[in-house]
Amino acid sequence: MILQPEGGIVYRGIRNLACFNKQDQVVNPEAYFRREVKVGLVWEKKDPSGISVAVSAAAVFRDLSPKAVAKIESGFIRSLRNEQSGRNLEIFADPPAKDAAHGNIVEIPYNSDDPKTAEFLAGELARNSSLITEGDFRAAREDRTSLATRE
Amino acid sequence: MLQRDVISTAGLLSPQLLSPQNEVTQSSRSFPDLYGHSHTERRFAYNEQPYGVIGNLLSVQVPAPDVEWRYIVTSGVETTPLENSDDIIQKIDEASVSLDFRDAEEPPPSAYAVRSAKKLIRNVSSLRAGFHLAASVRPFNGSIRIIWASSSRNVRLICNASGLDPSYIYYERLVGKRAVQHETEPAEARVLSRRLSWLKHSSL
Repeated sequence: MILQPEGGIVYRGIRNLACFNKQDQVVNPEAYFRREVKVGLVWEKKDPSGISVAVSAAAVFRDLSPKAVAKIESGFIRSLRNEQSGRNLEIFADPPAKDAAHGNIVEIPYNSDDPKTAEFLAGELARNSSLITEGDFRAAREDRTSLATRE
Repeated sequence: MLQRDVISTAGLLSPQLLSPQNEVTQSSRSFPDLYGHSHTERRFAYNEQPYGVIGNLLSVQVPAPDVEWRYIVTSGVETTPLENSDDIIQKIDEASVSLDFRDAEEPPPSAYAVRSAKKLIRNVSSLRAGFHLAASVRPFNGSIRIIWASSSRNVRLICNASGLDPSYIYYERLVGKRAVQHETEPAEARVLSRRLSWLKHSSL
């Protein structure tokens, strides 16, 4: 199922300081790389489903404790094309049994597989993202806390 | 008199004035500060008046026999702070050890990545002399990433964690926020030197 098929903002949790510049309020390309770790001679792929996003800032906090949250228009994501595959990026929702508020951006390659395309797409996504404000960040975190209490 | 002249002249310290075409280099010297960090001073002439620039310090040659150069802080005035290879190497060391720059399960930059990044940086003459755009140095998945960015061009040097995964240079030219030209190249000193020169021309 496609997430936000009509467009709208999606949110990405940022887990470390390499992925954004708080002072300049800039999102870095590293925020949109798929994680992978080399174990021996083999790359262990950490984001097999794609780049994780959520439909609200509060939903980002359900899975992780981010240092910041970036937001980006889903229509822009879909306008980007993976030049190697010839396919545009898409956002697929996680299966409903898991969490309907989350999805994954697909068609972004791992750096180890296709560095040129991975760098290009990460740059485009980062430049067209912005960080949510401190106030929105706190509110989203509190929303998550109150949600957990109710559950 | 000196202050007023310096402040009014400092406004002329645009990147254009400091470009090689307009610069009359009388000398360029490197010297260590109290902390052992190396700095480079570039000297040039404008309207026959000699000037020097070290970071945001503008120096003026005073026509007096007992005082050769006097330095005045020109912070807030558009100057061109230079960053040299030692500065970038220090950033590499900081990025290598900082836990804030990576996820909990993410490996630190490998010794190979750090070593190859430092070697490349040391071998680029324009970085040794000082480059007008400051680099951002960030770790990612065991690699070291060094990024130089202007408003319309970006250059990224990626030194991967092992020799099995070739390091590379990625560059892109932007129109607005969209990359209209982008490519990867081998991570070699001569290629990086050429690419930084390409970047420099976009920001002068």
